[in-house]
Amino acid sequence: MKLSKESGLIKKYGVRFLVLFFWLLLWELLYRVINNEVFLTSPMSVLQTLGELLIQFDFWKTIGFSFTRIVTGFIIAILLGTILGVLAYNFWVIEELISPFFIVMKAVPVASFVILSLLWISTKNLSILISFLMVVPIIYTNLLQGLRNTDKKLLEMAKVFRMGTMGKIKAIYIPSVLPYFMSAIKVGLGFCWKAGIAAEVIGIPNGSIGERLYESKLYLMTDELFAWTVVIVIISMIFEKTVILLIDSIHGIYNGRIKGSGDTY
Amino acid sequence: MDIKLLHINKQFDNKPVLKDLSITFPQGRISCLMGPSGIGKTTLINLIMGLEKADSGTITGLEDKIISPVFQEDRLIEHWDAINNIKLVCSKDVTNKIIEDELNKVGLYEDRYKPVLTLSGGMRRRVALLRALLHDGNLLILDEPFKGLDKELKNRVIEYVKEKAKGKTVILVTHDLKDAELLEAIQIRMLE
Repeated sequence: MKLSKESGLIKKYGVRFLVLFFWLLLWELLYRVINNEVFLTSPMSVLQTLGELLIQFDFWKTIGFSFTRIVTGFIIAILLGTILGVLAYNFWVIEELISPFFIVMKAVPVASFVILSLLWISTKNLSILISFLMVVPIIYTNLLQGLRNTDKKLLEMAKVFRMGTMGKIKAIYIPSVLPYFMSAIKVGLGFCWKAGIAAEVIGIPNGSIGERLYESKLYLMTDELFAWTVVIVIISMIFEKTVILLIDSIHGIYNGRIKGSGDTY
Repeated sequence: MDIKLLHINKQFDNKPVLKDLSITFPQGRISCLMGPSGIGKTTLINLIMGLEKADSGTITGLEDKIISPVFQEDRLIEHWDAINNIKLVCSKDVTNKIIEDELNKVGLYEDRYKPVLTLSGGMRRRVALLRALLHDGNLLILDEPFKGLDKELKNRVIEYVKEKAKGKTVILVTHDLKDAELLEAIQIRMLE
């Protein structure tokens, strides 16, 4: 049984490696066919550029600049989206009041937001605002949906037993909302990175990943453009995996704590 | 104070469920509400619990009452164990030790730390019943509380309820006349 599980894993990762090899090979072939460094660079050049970037202090400073801003926007969006979702669930007037804002946000293209934002704030903090604006409707909508799908029968039970607010939150609302919240976080993570970097490319704040991407395009440094794109994808993946791991463990601790200790209340 | 329902009318989608119903549930006694399915027993207790509103009529005697219910469905927190489900609605005086002792009396001690979703129907029913009995209420409303229990266990649980409900007003919905007899309850039959 153990053997078959191990061989299954080897097969799974073996296939993944072959898939990766296939696409890299295709990329290399296309590069050779096109034979134009500006139009398409080779995977080896990208890897070499990446290696050169990794040892530069500025590279890490640039990543730090963009990362902190995009993550700040993301965290503010989680906090405000949660607060607004809870308020909208409890007071219909608040939902009516803020729903036009979210309808507009869903309809307006990211580029329009970026340009408008440039009129209001400095380019330095642009990615905070854009990351926030992209994530907040997702958190708000999912949270509200989770709250609305809370088991009505359990809420009735809580009402008859005259349960306190904290008890209701821990026992009824959190388990109901958590799957919606987690899915919102997963979707939001991807959005905030894409939108945040796009905003930086348009706004070109000094010392940002967006600025480096823009410069690479401007000076036709295709290998650097590709290298930075790879960096963005890797950071986005690491960030996403870390956050999901964190939420999953919170979820696990929450359920585990309730399941067996008998000491929760 | 007795609970009095006077000239209660209730309909759903223009279909009358309760028509000019008047019933008294005496203070400190066990009353068994009996009748065929669909007669409106659950609607009646939902009115007393404040989960439904009567179209007309009055209910008195609830002012000093704290309700401890067992619903038709168990309505437990599925991922939580029996102890936490019970603690959730109880006062701080009800310690883990007390709950464990009571679980032991209804044959659930061994399963006290299992999430209730993994328990059988009869076990879950006992958890729901214990939750109501250990809650700090003076009006027990029990909707078919012995559902899913075999005969021997049912008799044991009935004795346990009799002991625990002493001095409390109890409204118990059942189809089984024997339950009412064993509980030495006032029998109230709802007729069409």
